[in-house]
Amino acid sequence: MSEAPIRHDLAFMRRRRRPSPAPVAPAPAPIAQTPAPAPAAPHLDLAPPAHVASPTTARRTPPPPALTGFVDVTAGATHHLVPEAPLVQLNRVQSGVGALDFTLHSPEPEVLGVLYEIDGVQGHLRGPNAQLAPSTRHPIVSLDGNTVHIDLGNARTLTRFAVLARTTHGALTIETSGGVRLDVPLGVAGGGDDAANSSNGVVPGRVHVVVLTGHRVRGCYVLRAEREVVDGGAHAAATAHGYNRLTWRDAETVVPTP
Amino acid sequence: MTARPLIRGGNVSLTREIPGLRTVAIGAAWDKDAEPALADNLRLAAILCGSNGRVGGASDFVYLNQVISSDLSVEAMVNALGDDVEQLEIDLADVPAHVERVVVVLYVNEGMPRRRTLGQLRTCQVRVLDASSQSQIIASENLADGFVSETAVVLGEIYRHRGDWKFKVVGQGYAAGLTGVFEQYGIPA
Repeated sequence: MSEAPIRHDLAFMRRRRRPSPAPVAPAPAPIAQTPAPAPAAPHLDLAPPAHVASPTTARRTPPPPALTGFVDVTAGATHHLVPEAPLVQLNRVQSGVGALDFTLHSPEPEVLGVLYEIDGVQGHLRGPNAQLAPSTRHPIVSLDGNTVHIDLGNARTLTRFAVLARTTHGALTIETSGGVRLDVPLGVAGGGDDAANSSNGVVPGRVHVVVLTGHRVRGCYVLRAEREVVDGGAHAAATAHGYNRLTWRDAETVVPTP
Repeated sequence: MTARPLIRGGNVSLTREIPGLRTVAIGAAWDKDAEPALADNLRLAAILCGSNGRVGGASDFVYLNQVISSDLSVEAMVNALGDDVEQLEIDLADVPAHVERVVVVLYVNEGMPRRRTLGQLRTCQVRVLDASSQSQIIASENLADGFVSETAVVLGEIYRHRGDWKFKVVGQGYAAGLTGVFEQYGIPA
């Protein structure tokens, strides 16, 4: 049977797929230190447009505006995420270009871990061996020693993550490819008996510090320094932050998905 | 319109050649068999510049995480037609008056562990299409011949000239990658 000839005159019927809207992530915790309410939004101006848009433009819809009320983070300056001001938001360029590198500066090696949710699938990476997620062929989140690396160029499906540490000493630094630097000193107070009894900062047993969480909101990553001590291993830390679609072999190890 | 590829520095008046041209698609194509780690991290972006050659803000950088400019005139397409790997679409009539040129950039997103460069490409071409008919207006020569260690390149630009819109092939690479491009056009990162 012969194949039908190609119809070059029907090119107009082919449709390009429009970009899908940014994945919706759970909203971060309330912004306690929000400096001021957003000014009256100009997009609420109901006046008619100054000109008639072209049909192409008319079919486009503007992206939802980013959340407001955050301090701008800029390249070349170091921003400290402290309990009084734990939140920042990276803009859409900072959230989509290059990489985000999280480095735990601690005398203890390989005490870092990361929980993540990519395209609705949750996972957990921890040392001592280097690990990649969701796959070795197309990694988005990787862990190597005390460094977590997020490939932002492919991270549109990374809706949230949480950086964990098994130490209460040291600091976590976050760097973007554009030169933004964020510091989260651990210095966790109220770390419970286990942490209080630790002389070198390495928390014994199953205590974890949830150092920082990240949520993708309207194309921007909102980062929050948590510095929260959780007893019960990575499992308890995951449960406390809603990563409840993981199956755990023990308090530290997730059963791999097929 | 023009069968001969446009060389670096060459330009063509789009709206003079095609009166009534309203929407153009800018497409970029490169080796179909490029190394996956490189091909998966190549991105096309548009930069909306004012008369001083610089952007007004981060929102003037249109790419996959900011797919539409705030004025809705420029859009990064997820899927391209024809032989293009990526495409941008520009509504010429709706580009704000203060925007003098739209610069088209191809870059390697340097988020992967091992560095890749545009010098690994054997072919790289930019072309302009009438978006309403998807017919090609102009295509560049193979720009990959000039790539070495660059990780970003300005492929071309669409700019205003005496009431018309022109397109020029640029082909200027940046060894500093997107960071160099951001510095050049004043994009806050």
